[in-house]
Formats: sequence, C-alpha cells, structure tokens
Amino acid sequence: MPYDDLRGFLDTLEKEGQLLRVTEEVLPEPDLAAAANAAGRIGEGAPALWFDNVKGFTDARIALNVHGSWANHALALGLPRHTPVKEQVAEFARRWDAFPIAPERREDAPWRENTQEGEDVDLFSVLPLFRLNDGDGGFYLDKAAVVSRDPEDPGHFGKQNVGTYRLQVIGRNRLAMQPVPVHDVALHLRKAEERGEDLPIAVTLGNDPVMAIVAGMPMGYDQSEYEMAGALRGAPAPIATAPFTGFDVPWGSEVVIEGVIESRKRQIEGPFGEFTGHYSGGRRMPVIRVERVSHRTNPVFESLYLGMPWTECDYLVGPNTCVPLLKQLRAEFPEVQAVNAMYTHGLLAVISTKKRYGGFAKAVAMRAMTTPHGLGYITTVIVVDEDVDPFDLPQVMWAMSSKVNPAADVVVLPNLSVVELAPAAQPAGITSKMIIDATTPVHPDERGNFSTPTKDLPETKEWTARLQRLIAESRR
Amino acid sequence: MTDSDSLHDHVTEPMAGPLAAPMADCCPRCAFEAVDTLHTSPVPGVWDVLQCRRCLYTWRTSEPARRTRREAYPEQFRMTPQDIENAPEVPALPPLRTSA
Repeated sequence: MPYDDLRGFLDTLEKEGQLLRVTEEVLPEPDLAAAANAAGRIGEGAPALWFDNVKGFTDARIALNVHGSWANHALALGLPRHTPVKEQVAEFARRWDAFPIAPERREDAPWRENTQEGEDVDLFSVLPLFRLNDGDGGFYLDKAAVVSRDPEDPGHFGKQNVGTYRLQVIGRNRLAMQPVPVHDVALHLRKAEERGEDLPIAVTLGNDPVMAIVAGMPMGYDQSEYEMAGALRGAPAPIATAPFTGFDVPWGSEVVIEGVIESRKRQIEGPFGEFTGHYSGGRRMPVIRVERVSHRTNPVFESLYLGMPWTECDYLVGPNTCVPLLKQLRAEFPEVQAVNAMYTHGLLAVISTKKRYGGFAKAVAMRAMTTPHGLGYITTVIVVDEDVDPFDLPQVMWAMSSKVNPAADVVVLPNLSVVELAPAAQPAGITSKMIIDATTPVHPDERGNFSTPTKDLPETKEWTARLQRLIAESRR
Repeated sequence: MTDSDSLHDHVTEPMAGPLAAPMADCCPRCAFEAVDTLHTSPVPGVWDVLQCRRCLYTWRTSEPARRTRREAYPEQFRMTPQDIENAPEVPALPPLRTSA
C-alpha cells in the first residue's frame, strides 16, 4: 500500500518501531542536527526522529532521519523492514521496468488549507528553521522536491523536472539555490537567463517517501519523476496543480513554496556541509523570490542531516543511484550483473560484469563514466567479475587484491567533468578519473595466472544449511 | 536585475576591522556591524534570528558561542569582503540572446 504523504509514512514507521518521538525539550541548535547526526552513528536500524518540544517554538513539528536506515528505506518502498540492501536494490530495479506510470491528478490538496502571498510571505512563520552544521551559512531546506519547467517547452510533462537542491533561507521571502550545472534545473535556468527571463519554480517540502527518492534520482532529461514514482509505488503518483506557477506538484506535500528565480542575479550563499562530507561555498548563487506559500494546517517540517557519511543522505540516494546506472549500462551491455554506486552519490561505483572478450570490463567502466550521472559523478570505477557481489565489500577487496596488476588494470583519464562539489577536483568541476579493472582477464588478454581459481566446493551450500541448523540446535 | 543590484553595492555602513571588539550584534563571520532581525521566537524573549547584511550569515542568538560570537567563530569559516567579492558565480551567467 503506497503512501500518499509523509504523515501516512510516519504512522507506519511508528507502528514498526522505526520512529522515535523525543518528548523532552531540546534546543533548536545544536540538538536537532546533533540528534540526526547521531542517528547515523548508531547502526543500521536507526529510527526516524520526531521533535515537537523545541525551545522558543510554540508550534514546531520536525521530522528527521526519515529515510535514515536500511529498515526505513525498505519501509518507504513498502518492503519488510529487514529486507537486505541488495534485495532492496534488486526490487527497485524490477519496479523500474514498469516506468512510466501516469500520475493521478487530484485537486483537493491538503496544502491548499493555508496561504501566504506577496508581502505577507514569511517562511520563518511557517517552518521551524534551524542550522545543521557549524560552518553552514544559515538555515537550509535540503530535502525539498523542487519543480521547474523547460522555458522553451513548458508544456512537456517529462521535461518538467523534480529535483532536490540545497536552498538557503536568506530572507523571509528569499531563498538562495544551488543549481548544479549537470542537473536539469540548471538547464532550465540557463534557457531562462539567456532570454533575460525569471524562471518560475515550486519548492515542495514534506513529501511521501517515494517522492523524496525520485527527486534525488538521476533520470533522463525528458523522463518524468512523477511517472517514475508511479512505477516505484506500484500505483499512480498523486499530483495537484500549484496555484502560482501552475506546475504539477505532489498532492501530499506539507508545504508548497512558489516564486521565481530572479533572472541573471547571484548572491553570496553558503557554505553548506555537503553530501561529500565537506563544506562547499561561499559562492554567488541564484536567488528565488517567494511569491506564495501554501501549507497544511499544523505542517510537519522534514529536514535531513548530512555530513561525513554515512548519514540519511547516503541511504536516500544509495539505491536510487545504483538502479539508473544499472539500467543504462544493461541497455547496451546485458553482461552487467549489478552496480553498487552507493558511495558519495556515485563518485565511486563498483560494477560486476561478465566479459564478452578481453578489454570488455574497461569498456563497461568507460560507459559508466559517460552515462548522464557518470558525467557529473563517477570518478572511480571498480569492475569485478560476475561472481563477485559488488555490495559485499570484502569480496570486492579480494578481487582488487588478487586480480589487479596495476600497470595494465589501473587506467587514469585526465581532465574529465565532475560536479563542482567534488572535493578532490582541480579546478572545481574537472577531475581525472580512474578505472580499476579487478576482473579476471579473458582471451585475448592473456595476462596473469588465473587458470585455476578455487571455487566453493559443490557441497558447501548444503553444509552451510547443515551448520546453521546445528548451531541453532546447540543454542536451544 | 543587473550587477548593480548585487549585494556588496547595497552596503554603505562602515566595516569593522578584524580586531574590532566583539559585539552582540556584530556578524560573527565577517564582523560587519549592520545586522537585521529576521525572526523572533514565538515564545517571547527566548531567541532572535539575526542576519548579517553583508555576508548574509544567519544565526540564532541561542546557538553556541562558536556560531554566535565573533571571538569564538572558527577561523576556517570566517569570511572577508574579498571572499564575498571574489566568490565564483555558480552557475556562470550565460550570454544574453539577442532577439536579432
């Protein structure tokens, strides 16, 4: 049963023991961020966090770490909470094949209940804003689904983009926004700014858990995130028309902020502690002038702590980065078995593949670097054989340690593109990239002494079950 | 909008030097003395949210000293007028298309 809004999902998390309500009074800073930071440090079953007793506020409802464990990620997809990561990714990939599922338009959106317009807009009166990391330049919206349209093709539903971008609150009605050049909203903004026009924009906060997943998912320029949400939910995604922009926004949002990115304007923004585990900024960024805020009665403010991995961000954009890469690679190379691109949103990827012929693994790695996401992210690719599980890091390390002859298996490609946030880039936006071919060479690449690999004994599977049974019996 | 609207051109107030005495309403990050109140706590008198007019640093008065006091603000996060002036534009402004 898919969730139509954040509240429905929070109810399920609570029933599953995956939502912790902190009832004692806390300080807005540093407590809220420190608690969410700590959730990422207590292990795999970490719960979502709920705060409503925050010093100085009378009416705050704050949800943090909603996707911040494999249990919560499984529940977001409607899977049992103990579903292993590899199975979550495999199920995600299966559902992808149902794309596109047309959304369902509903016009009774609950965020229509309350409105602020024009001069009356005051984001601080609607959202209990707070700082995440020490060096952040201010208070951020970092888990919004941001909607924009292609100014040259505004009627194209697929080119309407839904993405997650960092937004700094720089005034009661102003947001600074980071449109990363490799992301779709930057293409929209570029077209608007070439014409000297403002770019209308809708920022939706507190969405159903699949919406948050698709908003952070690297998809093709003309592919609709709503149609992908439908595929992942197994049911059409409910959408509604936002009143100021006329854009399609999630029906279930807690808050919908609408306005325009002011054309050809930049203001100082940041720094902000990013998904790379490093701060980025301050740079001069585009600015949104907010014209209208629509919100539910008693809105829930959902935010996400990010910093040195792992944090909620890594769970949120782990599987949703692996699956598009897997699908894009398999479209040309059906030999590809699995992709683990869960490290820093895919700055590093591990790919397992069968080999068509000698040199094939390196070709797969180069293709990964030239996928839409690869252009901005994939900097290191480790390629492993088809019998190595890329999600099992000890197996990956075995492959690297035993199969790699660096002179021929490590390839460094100079001066390629990467997101400007990548800390190792020089200059920002440019990096060398590396392929580590940890596959077994095949004909005509006749290198090394790999002819006699040890394999698990044919009886091992049976003995695994037998040992598990004996261990269980001995503990009775 | 044009470049003449950009942030640093608005600001005419005198700048505090790096050794200026710490003040409750001086920006912890860039030491600028013009600070606006963006918001006050719904429970009266608990905290205010302040913002520097120059570097836009925003803080709540109830935050730890390392975020609110100039003298305790970490060196690595401090910002100078030059930092603001020279901050790169992201994304870069594209050329205006002429209608001709």
